[in-house]
Amino acid sequence: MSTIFANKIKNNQGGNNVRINQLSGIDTAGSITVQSEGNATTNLQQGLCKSWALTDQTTPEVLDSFNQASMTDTSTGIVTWTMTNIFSSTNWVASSSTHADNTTNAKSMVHSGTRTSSGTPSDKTSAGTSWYAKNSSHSGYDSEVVGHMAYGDLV
Amino acid sequence: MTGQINVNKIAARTGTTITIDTGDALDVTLVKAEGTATTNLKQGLAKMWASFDQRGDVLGSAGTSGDTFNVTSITDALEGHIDVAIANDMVNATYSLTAMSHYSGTLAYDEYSRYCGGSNMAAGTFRLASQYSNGNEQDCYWNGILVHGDLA
Repeated sequence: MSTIFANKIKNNQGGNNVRINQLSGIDTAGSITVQSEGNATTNLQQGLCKSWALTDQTTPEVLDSFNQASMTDTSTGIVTWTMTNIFSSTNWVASSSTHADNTTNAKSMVHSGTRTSSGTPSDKTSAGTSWYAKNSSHSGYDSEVVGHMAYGDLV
Repeated sequence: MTGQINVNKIAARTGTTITIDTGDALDVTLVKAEGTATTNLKQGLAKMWASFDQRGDVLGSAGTSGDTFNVTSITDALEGHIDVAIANDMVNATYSLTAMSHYSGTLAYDEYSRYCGGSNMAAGTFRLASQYSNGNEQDCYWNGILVHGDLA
């Protein structure tokens, strides 16, 4: 294995890409420290979104996604997500946002989150979860604009 | 001239920091994740984020932007509606958009979360709407406005 010691890496023409096929940490492969905007540093791997998607549940259709293996229209208001590269535990962080229609001045009136039973995630696993969107009457509702994202530790 | 060096490790010569010149762009796709898997650096980066105070309870005056990234403008369009313009546009309108809204953003109203979501999605713009549980639009404090997807 060869090692180069340097404090600066610069494109030899300046203002162009410095290309690297894959980044790993030296001391810990899955942990690279990045200088933040100020004096502090942050962790590259922890700051990356590990999966995201835009879904139209009225179709239903996944319009765009990253690291998503499948989406199942389980029932009204409920979509079930699985990931290709999965998390190392069920303690990953999920966020979602839902809008009933993708039209001008349409009302959102839908709230969504990971599906739970009495406050406990009912089918959240390290490989995915179900997302439940409900209208103001607390009934399941299929929406046109459903954004999801997930942060956490991959296996 | 294109230069290429093939190595397995690049370590700091002194200290612990390796700097990429400000004018250069780092072009990396794969990153070793926390365990054995890899993840995609470009896909994992948030392409836009922002907060916006439509009422002015948090940031002092109505229609004020908080911290933002890759935002040209956020406009108070009408009651409970804001329009967001992205600086470096997305490649299409199918990016993942998430957001949260709260009536005030202050402790005095901490239980007053609101319905919200995005619509009118285009490569460089989108609209967010916030409503009270009775269906009426309502100005609010927006936080957690996040976009993930492919830049143009």
